[in-house]
Amino acid sequence: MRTLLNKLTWLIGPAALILVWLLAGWLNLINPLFIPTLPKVLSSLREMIVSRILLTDLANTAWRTLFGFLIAALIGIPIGLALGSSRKVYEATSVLVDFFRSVPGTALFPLFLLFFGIGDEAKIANAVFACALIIIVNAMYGVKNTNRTRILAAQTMGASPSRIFLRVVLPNALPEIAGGLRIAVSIALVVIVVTEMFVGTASGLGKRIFQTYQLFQIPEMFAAILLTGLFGYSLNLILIFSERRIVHWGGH
Amino acid sequence: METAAKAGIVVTGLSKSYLGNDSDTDKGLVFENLNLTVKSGEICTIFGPNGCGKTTLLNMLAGVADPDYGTILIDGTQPRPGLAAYVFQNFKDSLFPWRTVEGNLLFPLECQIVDGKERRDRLKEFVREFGFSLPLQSRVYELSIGQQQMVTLARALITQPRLLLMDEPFSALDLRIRHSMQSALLAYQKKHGATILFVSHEIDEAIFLGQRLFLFPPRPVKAVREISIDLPFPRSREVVYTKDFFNIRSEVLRFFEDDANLAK
Repeated sequence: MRTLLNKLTWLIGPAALILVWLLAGWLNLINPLFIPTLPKVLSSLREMIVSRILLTDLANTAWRTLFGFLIAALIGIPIGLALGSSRKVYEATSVLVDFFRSVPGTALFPLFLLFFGIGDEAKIANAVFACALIIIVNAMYGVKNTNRTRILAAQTMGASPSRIFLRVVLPNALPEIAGGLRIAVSIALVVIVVTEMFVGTASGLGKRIFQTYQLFQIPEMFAAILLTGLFGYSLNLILIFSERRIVHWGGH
Repeated sequence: METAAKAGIVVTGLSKSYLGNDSDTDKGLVFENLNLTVKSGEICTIFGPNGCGKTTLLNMLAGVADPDYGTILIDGTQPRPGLAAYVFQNFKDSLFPWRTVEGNLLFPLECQIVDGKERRDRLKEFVREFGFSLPLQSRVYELSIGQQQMVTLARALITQPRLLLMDEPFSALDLRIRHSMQSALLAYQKKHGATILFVSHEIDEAIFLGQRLFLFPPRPVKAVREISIDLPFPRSREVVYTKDFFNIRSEVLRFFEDDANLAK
């Protein structure tokens, strides 16, 4: 009994939030115009899912997010590895990397609109930009922080520089690269949802949230926000789970 | 007999500075015109204060650092990576946590043997001969620290190196595990006759393991004091209670007393 209770500790927070929300509705503590009751939000969510509107939104947001994230990983990991491997390259580029890393990703959206037009390309390009920088920085530090003793051990065994890179530096950096990917996927979702709120989007969770706000369909807006949150949370869970399985040696 | 005379470690006129050989000052000087020999099949131990250059010497013998002046010969050839096996004090960092125990043992073989089947055969043969009993498929970070150090020792021995360099390998282990590791090392040495240079921070260990003991003064090291340890080999634990052991211990302590006086 005790161990079962311990295993369910994680439920306390969400249950408390749901309870407070329900109570606030029953006791009329909040104006339903601003925060609708939980049953109302859930029934809107059900309607929007049944009518497939929200599912189309979700599919569009998901592919934009994942596509942008994937391109960013393909660009960012090799660049980060290169920056981390060479002192000279690192010194020559570190100011640039730090500068662009400090620019809020979405601040550049108008620029991407200018370059790519108002379609999906601009949104995805913006997500790629924001994610790639995070992935680059993490891969770079993963390489730079490689344990000296570990490299020395491989050197004394007669490992060639390429073997040291592929068999020591790279696996050593993988947990940090995975950490970067996990942060990046959240950022990709942020950028995609925000940019979907701009003109030129036919479908997407960001568009739905903003449109329902403009039409003052507040329960529908809450439903779209809730689904966006669940989507982001699932992405995070998937990455944490694969991280534990694939780069199990992180922190050792 | 020509080759026999050349066998082992021969260090002649070795100078090394942290600042490189073009520096004018003596500030970074670690070794100055140092001579040292270790005979083939001999176990020599090194004892000395922190920062006296013991690790620097091992790195040069391992072929991962170069002397500024002088020559080092190992069995008549220049040091190069892969020739000597190195066991580090920090075994946790020197292991590869993304590999299993087996993967860690295979790493040095991968650097030397192209054929995968041959590598696995060598591993099997080693496991049998060394009496290596740890589970091969375990993740190394899940092992106890004693077991982890046993993996690094086995990884060093698997290539059957002519020379073993050991940098305070057992200093983080408790007494019981340390003793069993010392025994494993001595048993291997007796069987295979490898040359061993062993740095220790523990005076009793340095005397117990060594046939000769090098006392390193604080740097710059111009000459090392050699103490011949004429205690019977193979040694039993009982030897540490003997008068001879005590006398050698006193001699070591006196060396560093005098040295402290000189520094004043």
